[in-house]
Amino acid sequence: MPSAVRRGRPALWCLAVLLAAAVGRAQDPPKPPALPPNWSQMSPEEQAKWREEMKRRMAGRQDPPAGQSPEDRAKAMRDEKARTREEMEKALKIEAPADRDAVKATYVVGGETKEIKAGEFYDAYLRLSKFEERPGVPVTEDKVFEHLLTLAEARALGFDCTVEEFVAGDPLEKNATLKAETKKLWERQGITEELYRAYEIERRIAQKARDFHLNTARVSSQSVFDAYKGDRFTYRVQYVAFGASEIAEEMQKTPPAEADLLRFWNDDKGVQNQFRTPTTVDAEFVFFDQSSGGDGSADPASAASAVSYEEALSYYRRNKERLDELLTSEQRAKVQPTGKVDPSEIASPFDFLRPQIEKEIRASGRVRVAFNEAKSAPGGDLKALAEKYKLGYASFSKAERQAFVADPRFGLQIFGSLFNAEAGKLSGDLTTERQTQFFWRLNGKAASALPDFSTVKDRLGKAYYETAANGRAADAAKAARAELDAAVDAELKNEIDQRNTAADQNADREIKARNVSDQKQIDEIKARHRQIAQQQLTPVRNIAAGRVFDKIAQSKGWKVEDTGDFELQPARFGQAAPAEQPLAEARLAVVKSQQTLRSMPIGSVSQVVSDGGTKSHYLMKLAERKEPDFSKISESDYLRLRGQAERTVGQQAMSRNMYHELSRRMNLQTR
Amino acid sequence: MQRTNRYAALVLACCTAFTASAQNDDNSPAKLWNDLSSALPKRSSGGGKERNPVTLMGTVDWQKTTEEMGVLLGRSQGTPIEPYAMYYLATFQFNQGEIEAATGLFTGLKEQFPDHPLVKAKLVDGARSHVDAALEDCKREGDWLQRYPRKATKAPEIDPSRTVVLSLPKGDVVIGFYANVAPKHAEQFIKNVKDGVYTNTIVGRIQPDLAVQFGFKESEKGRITPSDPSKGTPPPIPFEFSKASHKRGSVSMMRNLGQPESHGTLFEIYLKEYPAEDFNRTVLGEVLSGIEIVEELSRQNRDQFEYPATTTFVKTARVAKK
Repeated sequence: MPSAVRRGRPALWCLAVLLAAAVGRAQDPPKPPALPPNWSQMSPEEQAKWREEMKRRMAGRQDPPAGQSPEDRAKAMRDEKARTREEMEKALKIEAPADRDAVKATYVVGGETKEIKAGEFYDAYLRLSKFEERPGVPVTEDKVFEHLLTLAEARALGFDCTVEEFVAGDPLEKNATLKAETKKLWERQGITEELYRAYEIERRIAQKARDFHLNTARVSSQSVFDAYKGDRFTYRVQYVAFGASEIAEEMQKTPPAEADLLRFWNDDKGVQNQFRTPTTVDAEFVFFDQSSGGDGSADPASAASAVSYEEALSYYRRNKERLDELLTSEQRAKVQPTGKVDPSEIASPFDFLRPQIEKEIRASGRVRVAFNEAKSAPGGDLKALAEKYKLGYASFSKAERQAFVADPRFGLQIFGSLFNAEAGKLSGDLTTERQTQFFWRLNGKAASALPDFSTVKDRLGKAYYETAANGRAADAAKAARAELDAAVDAELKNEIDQRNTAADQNADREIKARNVSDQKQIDEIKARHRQIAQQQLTPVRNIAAGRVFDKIAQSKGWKVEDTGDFELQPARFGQAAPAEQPLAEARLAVVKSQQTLRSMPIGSVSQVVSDGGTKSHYLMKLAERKEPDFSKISESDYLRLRGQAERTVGQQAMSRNMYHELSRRMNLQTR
Repeated sequence: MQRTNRYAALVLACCTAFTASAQNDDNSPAKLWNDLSSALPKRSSGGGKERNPVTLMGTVDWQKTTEEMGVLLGRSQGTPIEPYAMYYLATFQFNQGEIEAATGLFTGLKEQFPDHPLVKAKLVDGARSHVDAALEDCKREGDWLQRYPRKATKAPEIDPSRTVVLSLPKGDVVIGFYANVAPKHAEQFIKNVKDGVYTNTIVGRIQPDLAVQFGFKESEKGRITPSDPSKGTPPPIPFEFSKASHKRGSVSMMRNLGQPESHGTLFEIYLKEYPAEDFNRTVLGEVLSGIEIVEELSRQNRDQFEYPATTTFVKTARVAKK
């Protein structure tokens, strides 16, 4: 078999597997869509309509009929998209009413119920569609109602726009030429002057109302205080910490069995990594550092002094990023002209940088000569070679990656290049890193290795105790919470039973409505409703847990600590405590940074909170949460929160003029 | 004498008639509505072709806004605009903390215009009129301010005794400080200057005609290193927000990488109004001279970090002698 095919075999296998997967996926039937969340509240007609719609959409996703070409398939999809858009626009298009006096909707303004007639609605739609419709953004019924309700409220507030006001403010009235041109445009669009005037007057009235609400929004000190409170509540927490350190002390009285240590060693990858020997390389470097100020050029008469176009271009491509930074503003303006320039003035970065490139190549002439000599005599003495050509020399023995990070002369990525090379080989070419040109030889390398258990077992004790103790501490905390839960279950038995019964009834209703007969689906529906009931019960349970917390803590001998009053600290995200910080202080810091305290009801107990930094697991009872003293707010905080409150009331003022708010506030009832 | 007096009276009458007619043109309802709209500090986006931007960000200068509305109220006496101008003015006074004045105006509006929709129409949640709802808010706010009285917020003032001169390649930029509202920032900045922190630093990110960043070390180009006293850098500074808003010439301290505090060294000079950064960064002073140098700097070609393509150094920074 030709070597090329042999080498390509793994790639061919991969390709085959990928193709098979793609074909398999293409043959899988499309997955049915998930039911909408309000399925059980939908009427049977709505559910049937939804099913039909889904079937129609799914039809578009099924595999194309046999023999359909990709072009035909693409055309069919485009047609489907256009048909969907047409249907949507048709559904949204508002038709002229058969009876203009029929009542389209009613609303309440200022305590009075008013009607919107179908004719009035349609006329408003016509005006809006002429002046506000955009391609792909049709004027919908909601938009027309929004407009009419805004106008109604504006008029109820006494806002109006007289013809004189309109004339005084309209740019067309001031400019006869503009008016004439605009009229020609209107003719094509079917717009009359009367229609324009009617629309503009309405628009101004609505605008007055919107501006009124936005600019008369009052910012109260209460709103500033509400924002201030959020970050400044004072909390008091009673907590129990189940810590690894206490348990470890106890465990150390009995040394672990070897079998336990071996299991620990095999299971814990983190511990293995602690003992793993690192990857190392042995390498030598010969280099010239331009920034040292010396002259690295070779004999001018030597071949290394002549720099060909190809060599210069190759050098530029290898060092493009660094060299491009050397372009001046004037040069950059010619490389990327922003305005019109004569083509003869446009230049490439290489054109500008060529002198610099040649200078750098010549400056590395001696390195080049040394490199060529090293290539011709493999295994030679590089240190002597460096001395011969007055170049720098560096040697690394059993060096880890970190050694090259600490000494970044040769770049932070050099370790990877070294490790991937063959021992005994020179680098393929000179490398330039910042202003250092160099080549290297890899003399040896050692991959990372895991030592045998027998060689480390005597050193595993500390890690074993920490990990095992932490596990036991976590178990103790969970058991404590389970104790609380058991007491809570007993106290809340009736409520739990009631909620479970309600959940089962909801599940039965859904099963019946959806006509589910598959047992697996039935079980899933029941489990889902039970889970919802459990979630609703969680805050109730947590508060009940608070009531039994003291009693159980006393009976079990838990050491309950009290934080005293404190303000919430920034979240710590499992940071290790500073080494010199006493454990009690570190634990207190953990509790004081628990953001869940913001939303916990007073008197409730948290679920188990684990912290890797202190290797402890906490149960916390929120004893108190007090509002801050507003008189202590700093000027800076006050101004910041007031600015925030101004933005909030502004946004609320804007949203009050949107359809959903207007229709709610004015009790819009459509017919 | 009699002829002189008659002549003077005639001239006076003509002047009065002329002024009155001119005023009538100025005070026509159409003109007044237009002026009222222009005097409002915030614009909403409405339907139709004109979509004015919403100015919700940043602070409103309520004092200036109140003064303008007061003038408009005077002009709108006896016109349909008068009640609206009263309502606006009362609201602006409320937002400035002048609750007594606001209450007086709302009450006056209720008494003078009892049949006006603002007073009569029950359009606010809870079946209340706008004026009734406003009076309730005034009462609540008044009670609150009695419990927690507030001192008037200080306007930022330049401290003439402390200025700093940054020497850039094209000239000097002189910075003055609002020591009365941002004393810690002013203190730290001057200490940085005296300790040589800014000497030979490079200009950082430049945004043409918007802002220029300063205080970066050349070795840290493209990165923002957090303030960390444990690593020997100046410590971060708690925010000192004030009425000082970001405008042309403002000097503000950059934020310490997402933390609720200012960076200890890095700062920005703004070249135009930018209220979006108010209450996000502390404005500690302004450029007293040399803003055009910063402006020119902002228009340089930029590299991949948006720093000037040609590295630009702050040659020296010194505290100016008084």
